[in-house]
Amino acid sequence: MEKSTDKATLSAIGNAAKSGIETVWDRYAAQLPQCGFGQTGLCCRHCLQGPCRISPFEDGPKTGVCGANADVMVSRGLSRAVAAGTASHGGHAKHMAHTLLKSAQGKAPDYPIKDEAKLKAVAGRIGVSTEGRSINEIAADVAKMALEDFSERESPLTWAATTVTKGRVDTFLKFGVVPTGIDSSVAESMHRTTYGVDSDPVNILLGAIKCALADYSACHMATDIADILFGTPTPVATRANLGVLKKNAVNIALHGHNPLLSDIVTQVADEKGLNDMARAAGAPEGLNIVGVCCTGNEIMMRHKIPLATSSVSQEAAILTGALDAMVVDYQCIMPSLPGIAECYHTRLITTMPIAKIPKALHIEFHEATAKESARKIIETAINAFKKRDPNKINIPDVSTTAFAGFSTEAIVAALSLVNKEDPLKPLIDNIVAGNIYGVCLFAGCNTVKVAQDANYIAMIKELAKKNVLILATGCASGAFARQGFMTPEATEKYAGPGLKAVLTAVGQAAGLGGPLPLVLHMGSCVDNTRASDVAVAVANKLGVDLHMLPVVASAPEPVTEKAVAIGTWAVAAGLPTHLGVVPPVLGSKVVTEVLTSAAKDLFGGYFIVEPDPVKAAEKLIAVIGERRKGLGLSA
Amino acid sequence: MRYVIIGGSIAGISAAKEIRKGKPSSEITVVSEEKTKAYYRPMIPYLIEKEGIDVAFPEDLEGKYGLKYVFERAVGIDVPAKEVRLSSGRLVYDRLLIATGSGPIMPDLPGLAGSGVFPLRTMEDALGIKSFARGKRIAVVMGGGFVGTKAAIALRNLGMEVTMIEKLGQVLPQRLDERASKIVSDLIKAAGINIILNDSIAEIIRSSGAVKSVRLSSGAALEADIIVIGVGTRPNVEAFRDSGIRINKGILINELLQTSVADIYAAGDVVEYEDLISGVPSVSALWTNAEEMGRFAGKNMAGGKIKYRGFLSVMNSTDILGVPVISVGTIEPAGKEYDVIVEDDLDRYRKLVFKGDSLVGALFVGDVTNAGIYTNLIKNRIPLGDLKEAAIQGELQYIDFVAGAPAQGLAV
Amino acid sequence: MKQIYVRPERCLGCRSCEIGCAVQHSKEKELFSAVLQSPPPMNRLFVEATDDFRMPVICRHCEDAPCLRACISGCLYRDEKGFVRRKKERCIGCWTCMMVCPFGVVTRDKEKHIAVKCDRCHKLDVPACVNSCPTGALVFAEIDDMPKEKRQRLIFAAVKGGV
Repeated sequence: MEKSTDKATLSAIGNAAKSGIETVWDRYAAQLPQCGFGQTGLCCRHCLQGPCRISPFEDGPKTGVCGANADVMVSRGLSRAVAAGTASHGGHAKHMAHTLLKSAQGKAPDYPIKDEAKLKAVAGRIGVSTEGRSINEIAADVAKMALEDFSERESPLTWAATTVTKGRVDTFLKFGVVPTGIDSSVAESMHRTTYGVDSDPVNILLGAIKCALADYSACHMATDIADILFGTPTPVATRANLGVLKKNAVNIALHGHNPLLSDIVTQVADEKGLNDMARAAGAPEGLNIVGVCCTGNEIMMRHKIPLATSSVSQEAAILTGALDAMVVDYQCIMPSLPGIAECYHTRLITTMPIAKIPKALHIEFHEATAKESARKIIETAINAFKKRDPNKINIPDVSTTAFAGFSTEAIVAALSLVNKEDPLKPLIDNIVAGNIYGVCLFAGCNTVKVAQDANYIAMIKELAKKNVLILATGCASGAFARQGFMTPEATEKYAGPGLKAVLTAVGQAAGLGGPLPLVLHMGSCVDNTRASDVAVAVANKLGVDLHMLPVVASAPEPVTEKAVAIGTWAVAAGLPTHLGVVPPVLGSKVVTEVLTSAAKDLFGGYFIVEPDPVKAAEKLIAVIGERRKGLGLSA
Repeated sequence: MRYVIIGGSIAGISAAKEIRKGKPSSEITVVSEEKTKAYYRPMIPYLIEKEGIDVAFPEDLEGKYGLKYVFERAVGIDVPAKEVRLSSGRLVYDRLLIATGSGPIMPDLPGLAGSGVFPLRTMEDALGIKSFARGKRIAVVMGGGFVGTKAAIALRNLGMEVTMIEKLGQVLPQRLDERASKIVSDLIKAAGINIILNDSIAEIIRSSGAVKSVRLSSGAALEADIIVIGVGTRPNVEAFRDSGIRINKGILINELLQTSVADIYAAGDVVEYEDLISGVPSVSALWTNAEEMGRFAGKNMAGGKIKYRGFLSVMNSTDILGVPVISVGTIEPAGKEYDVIVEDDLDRYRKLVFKGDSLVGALFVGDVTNAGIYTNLIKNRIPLGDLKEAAIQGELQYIDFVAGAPAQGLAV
Repeated sequence: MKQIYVRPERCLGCRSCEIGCAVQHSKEKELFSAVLQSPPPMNRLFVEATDDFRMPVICRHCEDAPCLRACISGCLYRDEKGFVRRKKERCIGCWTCMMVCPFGVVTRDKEKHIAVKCDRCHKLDVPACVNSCPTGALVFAEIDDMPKEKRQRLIFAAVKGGV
């Protein structure tokens, strides 16, 4: 089983093997073969009469104890995965909204409003008046409206209703999938999938879509508020991969998701006093902050912080022996980390009351005292640095340039350098002309089930060759960054002639002296709505709905329930959405049919499950071709 | 040591294999009246309807087991001289196995002799029926037992109009009870076969030598181009009547499968022996039993002393037009000491017959899952104890018999 | 010859072995395509349970195999490795093997109208069921490598089974 295509990761896990340290790949091997019932979605633990499982084959029971058949079991399981994903993005967004409110009320001095223009834009979109009001007044209202979106409202969610096309709203109303609350959608999903409630698989799936649209709203809100508090990203050049760790600096990795933690630690790490302390401790280069996973994307975009590695290879950062502290908040934090940190001098520091791990050092992070906590964290790292074992240091000399920070606003700004009056026009013109054949948004994770990054690399080569514009978020961004695809050189090497010409023209106009990178880094995994915002703007300008655009999405190496939720709303948004790992649904013919086919009739979007990356790219290219034909464009 | 086996079908061959195992260098001669090497006799109905099916034993018996074949009819035994008398010549034996099987009963009917009337007992019969039936339209099958049913289905599958006539009130009378028989006869009728019960052929009417029609005992007449007779079999014992061997319906044997004459053994359909369940002297006409008897006889002829406990005269499995049917042991018990459990569902019929703590009979139609577990209980007279309820519910599983073995490393 | 042994105390009844078996006997020998295959592939071993314990019941490839002896069509045979296998094309679906197997491990393929049984994954080094077992309840080992007390259990089980 090939573990990774990333040389830095391979080097680090090679160290682990030599030292007898188990990593995620070893644990996966120990799990094999995995349970076929689980893999096909045919087990249920929703009540105490269970667990029940249904045989996918001839022999064995065809229903659970309660009478739920395979279709009910699989749809309920999927629905709960979407609910869990929504709860996660919801938790993230709510955390931001509370902080925004505290900021506006003066209770969170470390979180001033950094991007007033974004605040006003959001306020305008959601109907908060800005005329003659102070920033804090506006921010308080935006935060309150955000918080209102969590409980059950009388009307559709603000963050859903104001950010999609009219056509989508009509479609969602038609199928009764308009969410009226983020948390209440999660609760409703849990309710309808508990013992003896919803037993109509199609109805359950529509419920899952409703919840996924709540997830969409939460994601959009999280992005909006992150930009308000920390600034809307603009393109930056930095580096990616484990080679960004420095032998002569105190290395601190920020891992997890929410910039509420990482941005503050990053800000504090600029303080001279702390850097002096690091130098005094024997690190001539002072402090070196690096990112891991999605919070790594956040600080990469806003502070040029280099990205050390991504989610599946998070353990690799510690395995270099040169990481002095890994600071985590929530989501995708492997419980294995303290065990690995224990083999080195590394301090694993948890910060969130809902996310503790035994044997980790817990330094709780509060909005009111954020910087103070951040300083304590950095001091802990400096103290740990003193205990480094030089014999264990093995930093792979692997890193590459990566451009990041292509927020919606940044893309529009770049395009407006080409056409000031009508920035979307060059994009649309080039799509119409076929220079840009279509757009593919890569999202999702790295999974242990695929050699790390292999699917991304194989797919992007195929798509770029066919002039498909590539956007990326989350650990998809991480993969492309580490593998050198977020560079102008990659554009030169892999883009088809049409795409190359467009990226070069925009790059020249932006004063880069060369093309834009082959992949536009649009943010962390919570930031997928940055891409949908571009699509919505294009659709609105063309007067069509999203399901007609030559835009597709792909999660070639998905892992989390959050990815399931995102994939589901991408489908509801009308995007053909590729999954490179088979989700646990094949046990139900009805669910499989609905997700891969019937959904197309209802929403225009549908899932394409294809583990082979080259075939997957071919399928996406074919779908883009169909859609171009539908718009009367050359296929 | 010279071994001679009269009869080259399953009893003879399984005996020969065992003898060879025990006596690597002895001479083993198989005397076979049929001019073919061993074949799977239960397969012959399929020869009628299917093309290119192979019914021969796959093994090279001469090469692998060093058997010598003599294609002759054995006409008697000269016991004092220890010689088998053949239709031409004689064969000396040190130990002899009679495995001549059974032959079809041909009723004494006017018009029986002549072309167009066939038993179905040998490969030759089957191929004869197949070739005669070509171009013919109407078939009448006499007998609604196993052979009759299989013949009727095969002829129907060839596209003929088929009528099956059974003397008793149901088809497969020995194997099935009334309810199961009804299920099966409904299937047969649905396949387009006409069934006449409680009647029999009284006369075969010919015109210019060819079969024209049949007259039934009831007086009815039926057109017919070909007639297949399947009214039962009887042991092939005639050649041995004057040999001094004790013979009733079949050759009588002891538990070592020895006849009343020294060095002469008998096995298979030719034998009469106690039924395992009823204890009644019976003749089996079942392949599986013949194989078992031949194996036991062969072991004993090669010097072993293994005791044969007897056979189940009912132990049938078949498939009637896609519906599996298994019957084992006592299906229709008479007497108060039996408990009968019946489950009659849409797509399965199940009957279990208990005598006290033991299962003595089982009948399954439609669903034969785990049937072997029940056969094993019947055949080995395993007391059920606590498991009787599970048996009644049809929920017995193999693990029930290993339960209690707390178990580390059971071989399965 | 290596045998499949069961350690029932480790069996959780998850039926992964059944799935592994069915997948191995599917067209593409891969779970997801097996699940989509129609008609579905069949497993050849069966997890059974009592109140006390559970275990997969598998064909033992009996030395004195009732199914092999009872077969009326020459379908079942013993291969060079000692496994009782089918020449599928010779099976006529008479179910005699099902009638005589005391373990209940021969089943009926209703689509193809033939009997189905374990082939001990004769092409694999380790049978699929053993490979699929997540708890080590199924072991593929030489009898001499099994501890003595386990061999005694083995004999015990055979006697109770009463072939």
